[in-house]
Amino acid sequence: MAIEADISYRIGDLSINAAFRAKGNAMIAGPNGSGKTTLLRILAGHIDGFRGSIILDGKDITDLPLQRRGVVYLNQDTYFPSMKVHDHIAWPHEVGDREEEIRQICSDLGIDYTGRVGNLSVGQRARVAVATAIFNRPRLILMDEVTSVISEGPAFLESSLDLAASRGSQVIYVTQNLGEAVHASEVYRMEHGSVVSLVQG
Amino acid sequence: MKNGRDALWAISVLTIALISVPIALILIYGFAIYHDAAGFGDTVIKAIALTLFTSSVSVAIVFLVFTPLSYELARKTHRGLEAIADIPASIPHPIVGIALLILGSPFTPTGRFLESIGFDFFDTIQGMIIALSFVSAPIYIRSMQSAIFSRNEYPELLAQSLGASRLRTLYSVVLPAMSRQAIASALTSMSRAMSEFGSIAIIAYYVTQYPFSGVSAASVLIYQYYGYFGPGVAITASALMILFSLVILLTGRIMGFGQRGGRMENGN
Repeated sequence: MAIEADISYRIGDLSINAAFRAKGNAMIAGPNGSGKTTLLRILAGHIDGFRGSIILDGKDITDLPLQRRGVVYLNQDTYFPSMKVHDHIAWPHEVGDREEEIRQICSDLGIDYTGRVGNLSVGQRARVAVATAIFNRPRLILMDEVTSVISEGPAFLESSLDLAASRGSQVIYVTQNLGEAVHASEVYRMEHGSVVSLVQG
Repeated sequence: MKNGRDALWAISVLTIALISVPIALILIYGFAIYHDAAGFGDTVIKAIALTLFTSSVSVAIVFLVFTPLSYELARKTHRGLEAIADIPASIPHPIVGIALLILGSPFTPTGRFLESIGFDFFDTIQGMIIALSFVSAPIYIRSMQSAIFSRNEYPELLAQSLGASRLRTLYSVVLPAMSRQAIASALTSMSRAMSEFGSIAIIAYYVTQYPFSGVSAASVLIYQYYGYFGPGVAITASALMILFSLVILLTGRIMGFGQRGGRMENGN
């Protein structure tokens, strides 16, 4: 599990100049407007027109379409409102003999509710979105301040990172809560679009 | 902030009055003053039935055929495609009728092909449906494009990152979450189809097939009545047609299918 990125991108007044390499789970902190979300969205493949490269587990994914990238970006709006919780977590795959897997993920992430995801609270939706990403086993999960809307966020983050790691997924998470740095093997700080420091690692 | 009766409210009421006064006059004069028996006759009822049937089928076709295009135009920039999609709305509709006439003419390769598979446009129900689909499609495409564009894109990006194609994302994620807007767009498109005159006056002035043999669409029949009987019967027939249209549109609104006004709601 390793990501290596060297990105240069300009949008409006913000210039992203980020070069970093993360082997395990990484945390990115920084003030609002420093470019954290833009950086994650570039890594996820949401944004075109940047210069540089993104290497994930030794494979160049810079120009790959979303479907073949192996990267899932999550924020507070990444959920399917019309789907029920179980279907959401399994989507878009056939569950087959993986029912027990879903039950285990739900148990570990504190998902003990059903119904349409659009009718859930913001925190419940975020838990379902994380469960969906973990069940699908992407190579990289990008969590953009997801835990800020979840009660017991640090504990949820720890459970999520453990589950993701056990299933072969690396996680990069953005948070304003510096206390969550204890779960990361590498901690970066962004300022004015640049990854300026490796705080620990 | 409470909704106050301010200048904007007054202007809105005035502009609604500009739209509704002519319609109200037709309803009053059609039902209360003229109410000629021919205006309520079997021919008018059949014409309205034909109009409702062909408009309903055409909106179903428009929904099936043009929803993917609406999605594509909402999420990607295609100036050329957008311009082409607007053509049916920007040309005089008799030209649409003539274009379909040429398309289905046995003197053209397309017409010979259509004839070979038993598809005839001229004076047929299918010809009328194709014409209505053609002229109402831009209304649906633009309405859906706008509705999709205003929605949060993150669920779609998540779906594609999980491996879904864009088409599957459309049908599994986008449409289920915006069924009300889709139905509102379809109703708007259907309203446009019900009011069509120019193209069907050329391609299907009347149809020759059961159960509408010899029946014209309501708009064509009202035009005929205006020419034959003068405004009296035409106004009564118009009032009846308007009543049917209003019932359909109001039913959609009351059932909650209409797009909501008021403050901006969460896109999801």
